[in-house]
Amino acid sequence: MIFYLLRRIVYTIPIMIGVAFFCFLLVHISPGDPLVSILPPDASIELQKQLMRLYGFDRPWYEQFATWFWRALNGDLGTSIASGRPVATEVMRAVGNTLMLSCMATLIGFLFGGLFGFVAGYFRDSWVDRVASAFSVLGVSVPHYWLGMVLVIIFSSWLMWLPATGAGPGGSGEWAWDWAHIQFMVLPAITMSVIPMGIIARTVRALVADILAQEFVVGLRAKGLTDLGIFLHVVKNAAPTALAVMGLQLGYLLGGSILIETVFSWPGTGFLLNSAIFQRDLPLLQGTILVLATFFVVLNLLVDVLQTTLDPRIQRS
Amino acid sequence: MIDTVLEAGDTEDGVRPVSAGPLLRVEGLKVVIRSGGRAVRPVDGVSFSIAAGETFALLGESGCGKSMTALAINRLLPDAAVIEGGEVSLGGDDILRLPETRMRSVRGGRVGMVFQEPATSLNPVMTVGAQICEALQLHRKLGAAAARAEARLLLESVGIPGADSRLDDYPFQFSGGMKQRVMIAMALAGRPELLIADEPTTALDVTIQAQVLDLLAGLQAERGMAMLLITHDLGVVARMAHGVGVMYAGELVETGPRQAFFQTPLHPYARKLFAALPDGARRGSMLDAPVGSVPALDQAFTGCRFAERCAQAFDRCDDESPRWQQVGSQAVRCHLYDADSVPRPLHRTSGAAFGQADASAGTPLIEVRDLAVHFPVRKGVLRRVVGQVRAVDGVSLRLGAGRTLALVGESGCGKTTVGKAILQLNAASAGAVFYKGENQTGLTREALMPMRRAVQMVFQDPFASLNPRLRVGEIIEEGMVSLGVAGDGPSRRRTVDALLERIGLSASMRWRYPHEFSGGQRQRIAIARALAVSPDVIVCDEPTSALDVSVQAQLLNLMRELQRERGLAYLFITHNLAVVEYLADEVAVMYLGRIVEHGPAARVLGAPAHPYTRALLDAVPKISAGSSDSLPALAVASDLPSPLDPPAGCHFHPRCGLASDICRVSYPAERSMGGGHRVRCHWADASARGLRRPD
Repeated sequence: MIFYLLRRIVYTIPIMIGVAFFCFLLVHISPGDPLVSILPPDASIELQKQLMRLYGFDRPWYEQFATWFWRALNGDLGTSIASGRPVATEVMRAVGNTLMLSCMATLIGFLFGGLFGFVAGYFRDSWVDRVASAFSVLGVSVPHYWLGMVLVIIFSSWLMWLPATGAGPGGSGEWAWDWAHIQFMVLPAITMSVIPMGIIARTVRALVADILAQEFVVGLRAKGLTDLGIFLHVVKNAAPTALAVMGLQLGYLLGGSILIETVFSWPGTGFLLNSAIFQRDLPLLQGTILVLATFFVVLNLLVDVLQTTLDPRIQRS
Repeated sequence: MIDTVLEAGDTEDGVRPVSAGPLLRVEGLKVVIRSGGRAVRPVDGVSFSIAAGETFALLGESGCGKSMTALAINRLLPDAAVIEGGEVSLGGDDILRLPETRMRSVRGGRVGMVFQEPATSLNPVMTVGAQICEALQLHRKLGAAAARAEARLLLESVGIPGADSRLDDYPFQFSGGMKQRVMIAMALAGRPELLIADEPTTALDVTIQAQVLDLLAGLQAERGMAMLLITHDLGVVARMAHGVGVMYAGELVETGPRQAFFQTPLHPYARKLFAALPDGARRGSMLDAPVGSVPALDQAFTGCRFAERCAQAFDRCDDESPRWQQVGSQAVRCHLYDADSVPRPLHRTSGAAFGQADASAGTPLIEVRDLAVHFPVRKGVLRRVVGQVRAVDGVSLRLGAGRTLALVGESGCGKTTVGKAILQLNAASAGAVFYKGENQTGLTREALMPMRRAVQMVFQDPFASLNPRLRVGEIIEEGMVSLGVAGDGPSRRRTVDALLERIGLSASMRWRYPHEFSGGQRQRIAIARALAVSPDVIVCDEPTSALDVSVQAQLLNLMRELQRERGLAYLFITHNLAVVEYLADEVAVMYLGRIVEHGPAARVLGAPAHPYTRALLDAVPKISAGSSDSLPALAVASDLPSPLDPPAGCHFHPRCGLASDICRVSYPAERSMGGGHRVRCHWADASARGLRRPD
């Protein structure tokens, strides 16, 4: 097991280098000069060149990449062009906020999606199944930024139960686990959880239906097990796949919540990415994408390892 | 418990009267499945009883309601199925009226169950120990440590070596036969009074089947259990059962003690089952298969359900459902026995009518020379080759025009790989395959075309081998189009129509999809697809093993006719020795990638010289009226070894009763036994005389 773990970690190294390279390149080949936004419109060519040299944009791209990557390994992602603060600090704070939000959303999505999926799979083709399935299809297909706005209208404007935007009374970076703060998380988390809920529900429903159709379930009943006992067997069989889907969903949420974070002004990575793109803040953009990609790779690693421990049939070689 | 054991002991040669204080009594059991306004009755008034220590076999083809009966006894029917009437009593308890909570202690406690498919009947993500312990804790209220100790004893009692360490293994780490043993251990965990075994050996190889049947019989005698054995295999019935019940279309049509039943089966359907069995004695003659198929069970029957397929049916059979008639020790539902008619004993054609062994006439169509197919095993980051699975390891075969060569062996011995390598679907690692004298190995796709056209294949599973999204006509036509034979569209269509007619379907069925056909019909379509390009050779990979006996008989008849009409040569890959005896001119017996015995069918099967061939033949349960409880003389122990690491010397020595020092060191050279009969065994002479090495 330890060797398996080590080997899997070693495997991620080339993936990470590749990811870093593409992050760097992707932003580099996109049109538009990053310095335009901070240079005064009437800046002299001298000044432009000076700034280019300062940020290193005058050197060949592979040199830039090597420098950038080496610094990134040391935790230095450069300085944000727009704010002048270190990218690493900015990204890490945003990552913390996003992680909180996406974990909460994934948890909600997994709990309810799993519940709906199990119920639908157990009572396949009954009305329960149809209701649960309708919910999950709706969840996958409704545009979530729209849903976010509707929720804001209902719960913030009409009912005034929950705050509409922001991450707490103290602004970003001063989070605490009390209701004064958590209430800010409720609406974005629910909005965000809708897609993973739908996907997990569909997956679990298909899984459960598949498992229940297998012969060993009749065998379990023939063994004299109660319905609860059989349910536990089914859960054990469904868990590896369900967890894998959950992990992937968490990965998507970490990177793909730009719209929701913007709608709710949640100070996370999506929000950060959004502003970095509009301000052509190259170092910030690169740093954010790199960190998010790293998260995705690490998450996949975790899911794989977890799956291997849960399902003995997956070979560890 | 003690009484039942004593009772089991005092019977003579295991046959006991059905009425000896039944443990299980099923009376007029009716099951109905309602779906969308239709009511299907898979079990329609079934009555029988089983005494403690007795085995009762429910015999019948698929879809006749055997498994539904078994599930109904345990109240395990699927949701759509409802028990509509009847009574089931187990040791005096009315099973159908027990509350569900008490029923749970019956299931797995008083009634153990073993299913057909060992690969799917265990939870794949739990260790077998945990699964057995679960049953022990549930029914015997044992603590964790005591349960584990008991589970180990159970695994030992079902003959699993190294039981202690194997408790922590997962089902996928066991072979099929071993999984079935685990299943049996689990069924025994609650010390059942009744064991229901639903086709327990159908998915296993003959050698493994023999082991598992012996195990079941032994455990039953030891524990004095009653056993309900569900099977379609007359051989299994002959070996195991005390009493027999024949089911047809949801009804029992005949019951009786084994001996009487095998001497004189009464019901025409039962007689057809015997007549449909292929064996050597029926060579050259058509198998007497019942025409048509089992009637749909959603209708209200007025007459005898078998009437439309019965050759002896008369008017009354259509109008009036026959009642039970007692004939000697047997009971039968058939109008033929209404009067005091005397049943004729079953007429069996006898005498070996093997065709003349004309082995090597002219150039063979297919010649395989020292063929080897090795699959590399790769490991690690760099995918280094760490070993070779020697699936096929030096096989030579010759197949002449119009002849049938059977390739026989257990699953995993490499016979399918040989078939695929002949068609160049697997690349040969060494050796050559000749078609009409031309080497086919290493040719380009284009150069392979003539051989691809001339050599076609029919696969084992008719449900998986036809594209479900294509119409039958398209499936048959596809090969003609891609190989550019049979001219333009209209003429191709005429060919398709003619082929459909020839295989016993109608031309109008060309528009249907595969799922609208039964297994037997699909296999005919697969044959039509092969025939469409007018091949010389058809490689048939277990073409009948997924089919019922009567359907198998229909298919074998068709194949024999086609061979005569078109001069086809068959390479028949199978594990079914009865089919081999019936159909094959020559037999090659394969073991772990090599041919160990080869020659004319009459000689190889009549006077086998290799202990493995003898073991295979002995393992087939014999259909005879007499008691067949004796163990086969040369039963093979254990499983097939891994082809990744075959045993040194003769591959068969760890399982061989004749093995001596030389067998452990050197692989035997080929030697001739005369008449084209060749064998690779150091002890061929002794083996041919049926000897056992004195220990």
